[in-house]
Amino acid sequence: MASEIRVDKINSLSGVGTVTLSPTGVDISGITTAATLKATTGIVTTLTATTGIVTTLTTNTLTANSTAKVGSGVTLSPDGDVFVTGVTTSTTVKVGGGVTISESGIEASGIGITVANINGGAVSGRRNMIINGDQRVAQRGTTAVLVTDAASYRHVDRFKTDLDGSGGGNWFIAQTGAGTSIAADVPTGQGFAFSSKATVNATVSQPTSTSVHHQFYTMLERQDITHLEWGTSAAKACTLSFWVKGSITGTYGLWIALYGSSGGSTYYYWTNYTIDSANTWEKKVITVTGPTSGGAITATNDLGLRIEWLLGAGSDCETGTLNEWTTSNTIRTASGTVFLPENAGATWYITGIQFEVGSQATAFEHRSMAEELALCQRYYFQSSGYTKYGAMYNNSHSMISLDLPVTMRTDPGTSTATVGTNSGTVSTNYSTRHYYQQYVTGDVSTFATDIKMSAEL
Amino acid sequence: MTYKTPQFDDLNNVQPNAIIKIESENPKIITWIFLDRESQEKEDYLAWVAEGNTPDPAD
Repeated sequence: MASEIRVDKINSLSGVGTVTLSPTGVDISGITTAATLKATTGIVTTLTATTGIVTTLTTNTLTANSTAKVGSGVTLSPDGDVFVTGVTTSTTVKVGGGVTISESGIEASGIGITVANINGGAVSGRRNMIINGDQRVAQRGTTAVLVTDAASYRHVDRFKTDLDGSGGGNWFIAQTGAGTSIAADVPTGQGFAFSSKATVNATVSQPTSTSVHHQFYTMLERQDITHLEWGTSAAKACTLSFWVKGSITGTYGLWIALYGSSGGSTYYYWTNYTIDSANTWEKKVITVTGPTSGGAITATNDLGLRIEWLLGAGSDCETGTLNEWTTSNTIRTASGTVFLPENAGATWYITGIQFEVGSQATAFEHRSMAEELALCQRYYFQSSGYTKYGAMYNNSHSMISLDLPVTMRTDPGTSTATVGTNSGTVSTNYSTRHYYQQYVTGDVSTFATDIKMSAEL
Repeated sequence: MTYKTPQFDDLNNVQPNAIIKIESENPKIITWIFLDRESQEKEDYLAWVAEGNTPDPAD
């Protein structure tokens, strides 16, 4: 049987502790000891455990109007600062939407990371595996050259053009920038001074053949990409970035091929990019997870990697899965991919090409002209405007010899020069990756100008 | 453009494994194509020979 006592106040014997019973609740003054203390609604203004411990504090929201402290090591201040003097352990820490710190690393997709150095050394340098990515070196000349069905290095160094198949049509390729016949056309505010420009000359409708493709590409040596670990389970993600501008909007084909895996197969990655606005420079970023099978790349001076921008391919290529590695060498493009040569006078520009390890496209690595030229001269050398006089080999023969500024990739496949001789005969050429050397019989007064050596991939 | 067989190499006493390409517009522009090395010019020359052509004899 329930019973009740109705009072409005209970005082302790000392008069310190008082329990006041009001119509709306209970007020307790003095020290209160309780096995369990619950406040399901309302506000606890002061909760102090001076000698004991609050073992469990259950609440929906814990609000500290001033400072919250855990011992002397952690302080949470009301202005948002957190002070921690000990070791902080966390699975993932996020700063806004741009920075994530996890046990696999730090990912900063926003403005970037500002640091004085990395591992005590230089922050940047030698990230970009592409040589002449800013299209500045053009040893062969700066005039526009018609691209035909013979694969050739026609304008800027390290970038080759070709029309494969018998689809017809053609286009000019040229360098734009100071010293050329075309004023620099480059993205603003990026520090570029040169670009490559393709201009459709003879139009042709898109053929159906898968063998037809209009190509602009560059190639790297195997020994320069072994650090990618491609072909193994440790394959690293890499990112290709470039600036492009085209008069025709739409999807363009692009592919990457890996040669030299120890398993012997060539692996292809068919992908694409989109030009969204006509005649507007746009930066494109393509991140590729490296192939994890096929075997490690053998470190030689042979062809290792090829990156090709398709200016057009047959319509029958518009099938197959994109963005995966395959051993199939049949070109794959997206449905409706742009076929540039069917548009009279259409233009396509490119510069700022960078291929780097990692899943982020970093700012373009601008290198000095001296370094870029030397990198190019490993593959091609031209002594424009320079005359090398021959030395007497014996009383009737002479030898013209010129040490090359850079050791070439391999002994050059060709050696060209304008050879001057009064009555002699140009005899054997002994050129190697280290020097140009031309033997002339029957004359001791000889010279050579415009020496050209090619050890291209 | 014409192709010509190089002279016998009297320094090393061998016949060079090469071919000489001479530009029509300027015969002094001479390209030495090494046939034991790889190049586009070598491929072009071999294609030219495959069409039934033969290079000029050595001087």
